Amino acid sequence: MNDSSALDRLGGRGGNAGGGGGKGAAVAIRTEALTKHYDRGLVQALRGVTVALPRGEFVAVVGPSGSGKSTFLNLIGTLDAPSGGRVWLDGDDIARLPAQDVRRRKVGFVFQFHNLIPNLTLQENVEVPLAGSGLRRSERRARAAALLERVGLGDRARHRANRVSGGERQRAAVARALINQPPIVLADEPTGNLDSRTGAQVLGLLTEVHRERGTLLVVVTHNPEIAAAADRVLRFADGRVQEDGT
Amino acid sequence: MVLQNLTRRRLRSFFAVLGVAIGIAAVVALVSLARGVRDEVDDVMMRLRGDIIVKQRDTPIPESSRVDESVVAALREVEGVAQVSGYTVQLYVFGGVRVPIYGFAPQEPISARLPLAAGRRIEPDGLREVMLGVEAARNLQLDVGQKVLVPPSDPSGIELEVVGVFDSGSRYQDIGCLLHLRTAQALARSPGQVMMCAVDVVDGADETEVVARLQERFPALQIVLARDFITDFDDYRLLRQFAWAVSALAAVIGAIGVLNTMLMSVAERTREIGMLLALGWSRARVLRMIMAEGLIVSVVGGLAGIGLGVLLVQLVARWLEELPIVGGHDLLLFGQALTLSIGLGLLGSLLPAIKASRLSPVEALRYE
Repeated sequence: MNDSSALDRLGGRGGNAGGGGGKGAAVAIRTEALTKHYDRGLVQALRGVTVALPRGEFVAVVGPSGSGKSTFLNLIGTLDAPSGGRVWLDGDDIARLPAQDVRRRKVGFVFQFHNLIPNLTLQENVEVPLAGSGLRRSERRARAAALLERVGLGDRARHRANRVSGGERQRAAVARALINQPPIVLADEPTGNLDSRTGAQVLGLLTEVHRERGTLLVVVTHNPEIAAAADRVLRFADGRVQEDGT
Repeated sequence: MVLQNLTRRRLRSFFAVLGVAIGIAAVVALVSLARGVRDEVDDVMMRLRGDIIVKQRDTPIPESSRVDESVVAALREVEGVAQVSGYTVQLYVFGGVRVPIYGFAPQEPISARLPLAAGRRIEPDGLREVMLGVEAARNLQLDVGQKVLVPPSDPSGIELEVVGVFDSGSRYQDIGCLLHLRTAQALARSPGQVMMCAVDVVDGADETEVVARLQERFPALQIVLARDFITDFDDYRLLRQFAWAVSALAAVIGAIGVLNTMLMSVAERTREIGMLLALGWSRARVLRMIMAEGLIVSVVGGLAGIGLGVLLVQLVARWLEELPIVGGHDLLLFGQALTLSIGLGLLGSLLPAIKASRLSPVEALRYE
């Protein structure tokens, strides 16, 4: 485990007396002794993970199946609650933040399966996270159209999700994850269902946006090429970070 | 998005709408028919039977009431009473057509109130004369001058001559016919007795006070205002209760239809709902989305049900042509039906909506 070196690179643990993440630091996400167990403790998915993930970094999370990668991603994205430990987001303990606000404003998710709504158009799917955002409809449309253009789907915007290819759906899912302009993008095997060419396109898209916007990009992957392209690789084994390096 | 969710499984949404529509149609049709019966009987009471009804107390149905004719004369002596008519009503079936037969003394003003369409009225000594309502004349294919045997097909029956046809404007009356009271009593084998008495009060008199006065004088009789009579009418009360019970059952089935559809829809979209939560949708927004879907099903089903109910009433009225049924539906009933439908939709979608809103995003995204 190499947690301390990562923290050192970020200028120390960034903690305070209360164990906070240190507001104003470049750290976007920091976890402290994060654990997660299921079935009354019979299954230990995470066994105390402490890492700091700064803004602008592209982090690949790798490891064998069942090593806790996806669980880690779910916990830092507030999709699930930890059994123990803490997660700090921009210096705030996320246990004290409304999960829906974190998901809406701070985090964009891309999953292995696109989960687009099949009978909505790509344009409508990309607009879904903006429902109830208070933005005017014209603005929502413009924003979604610009993103679809950005991911190379400008001419497919009016096509229903069930009428386009798998690669196009996943690119639309990337656009949907970015519609709220989140500072953090979490992707769980985003190319897992795609052929290598389409997978490379989707990865290229994620990394371009990451560079342009300076987002923290965390990608859970089995793909060594993605790991090779990342700034940093967290290698998980048995619910722990076994290796943390570039 | 709510509409698009519903159109995704068109057939299933259609059946959910149909379930609500059938429930609401049953409510509209049955309540309309019950009201129709009430309105018709009300109409008869007001047109034919004066201001106050006098009958034997506690008879299961009005037809089994018997009042001695001597009471008719005694009623006339009470202060505030202008006119009293004793009458009988019997029901005979002529070749499958049911015909109510009213027996009135021909000299009484109530007989004279009926507007004549053809022929003349029954003479004071016209014991073998009958006046037909226009509907009865048409149903029985009889005209002035022809003879009719009452009871029909009974060799011991009384042969009567059709002397006139009346057109009261009320279907309930116009499907019937009018006999001399003595003839009607002979047919009913109850000489010297009438079924009920219709009392007219003098102009300006307080009807309620007259009722109280009559009741004090004749405690053994049941004396009610003609306009309240229908509400004391056991048959009507039963009919109304039956209408509401069947309606409630139909409505519950409609609600279960919505519940089932929405539960299936939520189960089928578990991953999608998980994704919506992952994208920052609040649980309240997910709840509202499912409730809105149920609401649309119920509003569309409710409107369709109202249309279907009106159609049903018309079909029933046409099918049972000899029955004096006209649907008593109005905007208020439609409003009540639509409100009920919306209530059912919200009730039926509440459980699925709560279920959806409580999904764990992680669990939901893992759902196969």
